[in-house]
Amino acid sequence: MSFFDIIWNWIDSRAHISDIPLKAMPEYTMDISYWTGGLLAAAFIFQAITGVLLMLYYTPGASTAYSSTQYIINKVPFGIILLNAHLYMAYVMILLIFIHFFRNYYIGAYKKPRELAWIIGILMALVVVGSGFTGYFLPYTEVSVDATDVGVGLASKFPLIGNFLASLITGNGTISSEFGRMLDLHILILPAILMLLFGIHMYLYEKNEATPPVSMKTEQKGSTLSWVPTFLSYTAGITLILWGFVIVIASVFPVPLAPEAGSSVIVQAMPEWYLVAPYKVIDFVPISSNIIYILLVIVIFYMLVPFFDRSESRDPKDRPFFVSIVTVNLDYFILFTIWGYLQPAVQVQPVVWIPIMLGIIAFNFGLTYGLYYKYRKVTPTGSERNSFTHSNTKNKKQHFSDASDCNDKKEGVDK
Amino acid sequence: MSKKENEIDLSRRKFLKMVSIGSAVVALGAFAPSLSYIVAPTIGVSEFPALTLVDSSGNPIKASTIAVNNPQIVLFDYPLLNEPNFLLNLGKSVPGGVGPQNSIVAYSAICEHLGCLPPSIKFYPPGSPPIDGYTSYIHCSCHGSTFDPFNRCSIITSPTTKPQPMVVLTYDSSTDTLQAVKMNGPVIYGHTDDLTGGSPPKGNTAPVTTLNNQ
Ligand code: HEM
Ligand code: FES
Repeated sequence: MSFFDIIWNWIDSRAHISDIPLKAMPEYTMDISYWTGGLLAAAFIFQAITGVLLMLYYTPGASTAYSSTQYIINKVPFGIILLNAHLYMAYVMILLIFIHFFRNYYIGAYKKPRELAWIIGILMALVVVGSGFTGYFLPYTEVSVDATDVGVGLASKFPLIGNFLASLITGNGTISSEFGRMLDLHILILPAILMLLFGIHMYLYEKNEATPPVSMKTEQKGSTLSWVPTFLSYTAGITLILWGFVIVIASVFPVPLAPEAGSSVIVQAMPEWYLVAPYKVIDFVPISSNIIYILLVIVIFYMLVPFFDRSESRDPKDRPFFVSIVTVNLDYFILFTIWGYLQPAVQVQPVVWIPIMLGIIAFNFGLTYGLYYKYRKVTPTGSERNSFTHSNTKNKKQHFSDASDCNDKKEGVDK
Repeated sequence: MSKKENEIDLSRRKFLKMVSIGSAVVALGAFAPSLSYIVAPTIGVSEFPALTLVDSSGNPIKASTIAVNNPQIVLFDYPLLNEPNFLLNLGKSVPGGVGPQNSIVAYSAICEHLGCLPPSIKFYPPGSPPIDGYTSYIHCSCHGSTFDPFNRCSIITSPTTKPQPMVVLTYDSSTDTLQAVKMNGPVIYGHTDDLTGGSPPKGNTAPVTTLNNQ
């Protein structure tokens, strides 16, 4: 027994580390598309570390927030990298949320039995956007104050709890009260909620396991690889690559600090890039601040989508309707983002935006259904893939047999 | 017949369950009202104060010296300290205007649309690029709302659905000084009423400041 073994045994016999149920994972999960959520977790850890370091120097308050931010950039060793890495990782996190969301949507990962993981996921997405929103305020620049005021204004239009939400942020209306609340939300409340949700999300993932590739009919696992060392080194690898990538980008392309709130330098008010699309929709006459209702409907739709899309096939080729819907949304997002940057705060009349929106719907549904009708007969499993219609009794039967397959598998796997 | 020692008394178990659930509900119920403390107690004033407009050293501003169509952003807080207003001298008599030429007006500087602040919302003096035919206006670059300062800050372009609130000023021609006495028009943006949701003014003056480059 080596010295290392002795120490390890001492620790393990007390901390029971080797009893932690890190199950062997199927071989097909050795693929980056199975790790978009893992990357999100890695990004979150990075934000926690850089955030704590930033907190050592940041001082909230109307007269100090901006100057302490300048101090971090100009005086603190590597401060400019620290601040920019925190900023870029926030962007990466939002981007990864999109990727994780679309990936799980297209492969139908929200279907039984993963509905809860999906709903918790949507809640996490909201918390992450909230973190970005509250973080944007902290340096107290002109644009960030405007963005915050607009955000608070929209929040106050929220049905029923609008004023409560707004006062959650503004406190008693003084700027010091607002700083207190924004900082609390950003560094304490939202991260705590996110960690709680993440714990549940991971528990559900551990229990329901990864969604197999769409080409696999039943929930079969095939051959597996063990966590230690295979997946351990894999996760460590992608984590370090992500962190390294962000640190390099932050060092090479630091973002200049916008003018301080209350200066007279005129800059175009603009939210962060992931909110530019809804920002543009505010220009659509007569939507304006009613955008809050549209966003609410979108969020509720995606939360409930596991209960709308009840076909048992996960394959996007079998789900033209739901694939079209999310693609329309993606197209809107990209189009309105570009449009928002090109023509910020330029009003758009209904004769312009309604045809554009309808055109995108027609194009996406046309294309998706066109491909669907052209290719559905030649798919590998042939005529069995018709699970799109809800009323098909044959589907119901398959559903039960799938469920029992699932149970069989569980028994077989438990060791 | 006596019960066996290890037989489970189901009714007793049920009773204990009900008691625990009941007390949990009561505890949660007691917790619920405490949520209301998240909403901070309101602060403010009980009636409109009369504040004399003063410069940074506390001397009353002379109305006849206020620059006409000044492109700089000139502000004072009224009635509360988080309620900034533009102070404008438009150079000619306008509705609601005071001063020697009835040309001095003050409007809230918080955009009624969704709350952007100066310099995003700002006064553009005559000769600015036309918007709907107007060459002088108050315009907010956040979403493009435009207001007419020559006519009680009424709406020139959407998306705003409300005009900017107007500060009622009084002019004392013997001393050439100005006082803010109340607000007219819609409620100041972001406030449930003009007098709550911010710190009360200090003393009975409102210092006028000019935004400068950093
Ligand atoms: C901070 C936000 C989030 C974190 C840290 C996170 C983390 C994770 C992780 C580590 C996994 C394991 C599998 C993988 O790596 O892909 C996972 C799976 C999953 N996540 Fe998330 N997630 C987040 C947000 C979301 C969102 C926004 C959604 C969608 C609305 C979502 C839905 C799901 C679903 C359905 C699975 C199961 C996927 C499968 O079975 O392959 N999550 N998440
Ligand atoms: S906040 Fe001024 S136009 Fe929207």
